[in-house]
Amino acid sequence: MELLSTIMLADTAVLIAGLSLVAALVTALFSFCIPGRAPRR
Amino acid sequence: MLVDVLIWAAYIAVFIWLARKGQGHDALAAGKVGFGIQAFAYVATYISAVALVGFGGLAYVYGMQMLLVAAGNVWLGTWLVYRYLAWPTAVCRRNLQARTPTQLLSKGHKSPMLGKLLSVLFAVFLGVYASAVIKGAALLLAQILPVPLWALIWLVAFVVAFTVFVGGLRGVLYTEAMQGFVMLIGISMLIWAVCSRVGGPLEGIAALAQLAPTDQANEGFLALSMGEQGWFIISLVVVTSVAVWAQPQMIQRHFALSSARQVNHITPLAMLVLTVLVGGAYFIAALSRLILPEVASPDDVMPMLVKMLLPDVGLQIFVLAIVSASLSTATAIFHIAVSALAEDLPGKKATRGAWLGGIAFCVILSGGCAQIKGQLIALLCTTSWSIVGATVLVSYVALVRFGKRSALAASLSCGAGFAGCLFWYLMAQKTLFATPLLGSSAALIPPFFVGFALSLLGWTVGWAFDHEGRKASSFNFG
Repeated sequence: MELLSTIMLADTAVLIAGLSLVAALVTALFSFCIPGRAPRR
Repeated sequence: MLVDVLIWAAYIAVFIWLARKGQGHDALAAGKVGFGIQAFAYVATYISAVALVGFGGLAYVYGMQMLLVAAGNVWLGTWLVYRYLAWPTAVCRRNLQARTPTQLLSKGHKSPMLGKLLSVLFAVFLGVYASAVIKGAALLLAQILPVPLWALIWLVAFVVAFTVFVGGLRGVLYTEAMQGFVMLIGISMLIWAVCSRVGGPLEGIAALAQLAPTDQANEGFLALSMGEQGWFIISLVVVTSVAVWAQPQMIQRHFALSSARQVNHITPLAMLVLTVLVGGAYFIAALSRLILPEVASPDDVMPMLVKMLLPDVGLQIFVLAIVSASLSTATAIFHIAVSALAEDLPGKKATRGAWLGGIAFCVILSGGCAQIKGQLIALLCTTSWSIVGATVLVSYVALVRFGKRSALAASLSCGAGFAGCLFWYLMAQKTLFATPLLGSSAALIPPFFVGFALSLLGWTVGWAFDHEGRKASSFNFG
């Protein structure tokens, strides 16, 4: 709850930027746990 | 004191050991390089000391809106590049037997003349731009070493030249990866220290929200500013995240890719490191407003934070991190400038002698330019990133992503991008004249935007008239 109320202090642009950075971190960490698949060519 | 000496000795020893990894390899061939090395090398080349110290200072002034720049760098400058450009670049290079980014473009567009012109552009702009990066590292070293600045400039220039000569592309990639790792350690320490000092990231954000708006952060420190200030941030996002696609030193990083599968491993690691480096640096620099007194210059913010919060060992590691940021960018730029002079301009494979001659020229050019203050040098340094990006971007993406090959379209695109960007710097910005000639509204449009638009127009016109080129554009990505 505290987390939500704090991040909602930011405006939409900064919120999106911050969340996309968190998403990049989470995606990166998960991708090392799940073996990647080469893109189809 | 002993610990400080040991840290520096270890750094120098690992640096020399890694630079020698390239011995026995062609100066322009990377050989087999692991995904971790490539990911760290990409980030280290991308992020110079300007991004960490200079943009960190901007985050102090503009607040959390600088996270937009970090997000742009991570998603547009890294994810999108590896998703859509990196592997096609590697395949294109292999099919064309290109050894340098210049050869990729000239062979791809079947225009030797374009290759010659681009090699001159890269040698001059990147050679001089390297002087600014080298001077940045020397200025930082001058704070902890009792050695005159002029001597430190030559020392840094020789270290960069040593890496390029001994290691070639392979040695450069390995030393950059090590420098990226040192940057990660240095910034991680500072993130931890600042977050502890402000009582945690959430508490810091809440406290920052209470601060009154300023001229630059006119909507507060957690919002995108209105008007010119907000536009400045958006421009910074585009220039740092899109112009990077076509910087030759970044294009060259894709040359080391050995398979499409490798891209899948590099992408998340590079994004992770970049998020911690730039996202973390801008986040704590914005929070530093809560703990720092008023600063005379935004450039003082990061050094002040380090001196205030880190123990002496931490200070040494942070100095190493910033020196690493400069060195890694400088070696990558140097390698491109030297290969442009030693191989692309003569149009034949560089001999060891030609490579050494190119390095000597670049050391004298960069070291010499770093010693003197001149308007032309300042102009080349500030404009290099945008001009190179605006010149090359359209023809590079058209070639590697869409398989379009046209000497006429590429020449018009590069010429229009270069001329448009340079014209805008000279006439619409405060580069030459205190009052921009084209008015205050035009001054708000970044030169890269103008150069890119004209470059796209040049490509479109050239493509429309190049009937033969259109017929022959059946590039096979393999």
